[in-house]
Amino acid sequence: MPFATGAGPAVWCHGLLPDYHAFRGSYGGYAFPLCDNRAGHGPFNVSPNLLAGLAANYGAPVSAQDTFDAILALLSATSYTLRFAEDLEDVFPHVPFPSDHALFLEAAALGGEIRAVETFTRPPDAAFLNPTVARIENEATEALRASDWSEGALFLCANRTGRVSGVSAAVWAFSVSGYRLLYRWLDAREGLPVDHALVTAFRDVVGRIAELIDLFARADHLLGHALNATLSREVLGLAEAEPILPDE
Amino acid sequence: MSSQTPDLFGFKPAQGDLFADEPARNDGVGVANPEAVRARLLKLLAEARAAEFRPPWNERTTRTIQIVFPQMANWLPHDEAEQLRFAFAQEMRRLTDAA
Repeated sequence: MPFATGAGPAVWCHGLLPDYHAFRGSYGGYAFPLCDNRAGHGPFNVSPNLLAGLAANYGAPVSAQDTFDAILALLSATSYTLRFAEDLEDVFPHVPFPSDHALFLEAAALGGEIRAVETFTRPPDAAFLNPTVARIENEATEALRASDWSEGALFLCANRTGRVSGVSAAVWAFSVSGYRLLYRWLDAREGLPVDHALVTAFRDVVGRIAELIDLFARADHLLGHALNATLSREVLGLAEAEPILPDE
Repeated sequence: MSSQTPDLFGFKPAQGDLFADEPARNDGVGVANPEAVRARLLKLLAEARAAEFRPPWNERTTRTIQIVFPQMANWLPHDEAEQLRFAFAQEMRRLTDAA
């Protein structure tokens, strides 16, 4: 997303075609589909020149899926948008591909996990959704109208029933380009009955955010190593990047 | 008016094709041309041999080259790859000692 940089991941993986205004209602962003299903094209949409450049430097074949996942990991790293906040206002995110093939494969594996969590392909790992996480302490007696978060807990109903404990400050504050995920998830469902399906979905989202925070921190560790020795566009055999034209 | 200029209703057209110059078919696996790899490795080795007191690249590029050189050699026949790796390591040791 081109604005509100400096916090949160620089990219998000969607399993389905995202809305143009995903996350932020007023700015939009850029979508990079992994697959190209048009007749005579694809099936992948990752630059063949990039794949060939990576393969040459890594001394092994490189798949589009691994490349996509490695990009997802490196650009999801906790500090990426902070490190490159100024650049992100003007240009597409630069991908610091590591020189080391083993590090690339590690990033690809981590990116695969991020993709699975973000696209709801698998449930959150049990370590992030155990019975103490987003635990419903008492029954909700009204429709959903969640309170603000305070000291690890919140209420799902305005009459302070449906108390939920085990929601960390980090999960509550987690945001993408200024869009606070959990708060907005609850806000978008205001007025719905607080039934089993809603509570299950709520706990699932809490678990996903908690796991993503962990995955992004692990990606940050990889990013730190990757930045020690990256593959430049020249080394990859790619042309210089063209600047983004201003809107005016 | 640029392709990214919003229309009168504020609608911004969909992004352009970022890979317009790429071949249409893409089977999703990148491989290298061994001839091109060999040429690049020999060029790097020649640059290292020509240097007298320190690696001929800046510190950052040197770090990258030291990592990718042995990896790139994987695309060549085993004996040739081993020989190139050995020769390159020897040159880098010489330059490090000389620095």
